[in-house]
Amino acid sequence: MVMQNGSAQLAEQVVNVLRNAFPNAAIKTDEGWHGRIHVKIVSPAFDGVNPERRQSLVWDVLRQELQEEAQFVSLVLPLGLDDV
Amino acid sequence: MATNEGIADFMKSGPRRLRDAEELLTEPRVNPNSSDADRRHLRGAMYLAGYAVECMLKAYLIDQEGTQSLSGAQGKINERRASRGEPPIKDIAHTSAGHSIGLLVALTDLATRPGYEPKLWGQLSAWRTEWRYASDYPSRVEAELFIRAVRSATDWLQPGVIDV
Repeated sequence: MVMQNGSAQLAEQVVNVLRNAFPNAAIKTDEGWHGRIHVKIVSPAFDGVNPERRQSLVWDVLRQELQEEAQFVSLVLPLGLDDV
Repeated sequence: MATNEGIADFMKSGPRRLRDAEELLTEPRVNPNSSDADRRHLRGAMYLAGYAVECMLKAYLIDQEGTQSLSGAQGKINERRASRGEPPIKDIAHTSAGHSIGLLVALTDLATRPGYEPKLWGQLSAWRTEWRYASDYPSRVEAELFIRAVRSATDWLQPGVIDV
């Protein structure tokens, strides 16, 4: 599958959908392999939540909102406020 | 500073660190009846297990770039980046940047490989070398989940993905 929009546009979309789902989050994207997107998200929503569940919380949003484009996100690092 | 930075070094040390970690999950021989016996080595286990991932990723990078060392792999990556007008990457061969699982993954093409699981690699990216200073005890569930994730990743990388 080819990325429909450019990497920068998709990164912006990623930030927007995550900001809607996690309103108080700080979100940063970085470039992974060949324009794939890595996401760092810091939110109190992840405090006290185990790492496996944190992944699911974020990926559920990405897959629902971005559909197939979500496959161009290749890494997500969710952190709680207690982690930083 | 890494002095053993060839692919063979990383391929040997990665699985060894994982076995160290898995052994730390078992019942300790020293003071096995003390109240903290079931959890006192859990943080140490997680800390060591992270190095297994780091080593395997570094082995993969060397293999991917077709070089003899991590410094060589870094050099080739930077050559490519320079040809595109991009700045060099952080020094993964000689600085703490080389402990960042997320950064190492970003430098590989693993995300394009069949069987790549972003959720798994996201979990692994939470690993920090600063855990060596942590005085808390993680829960056994947390430690076992993390080490299981490390086992999944290393089993996937070797021998199927790293082709040496």
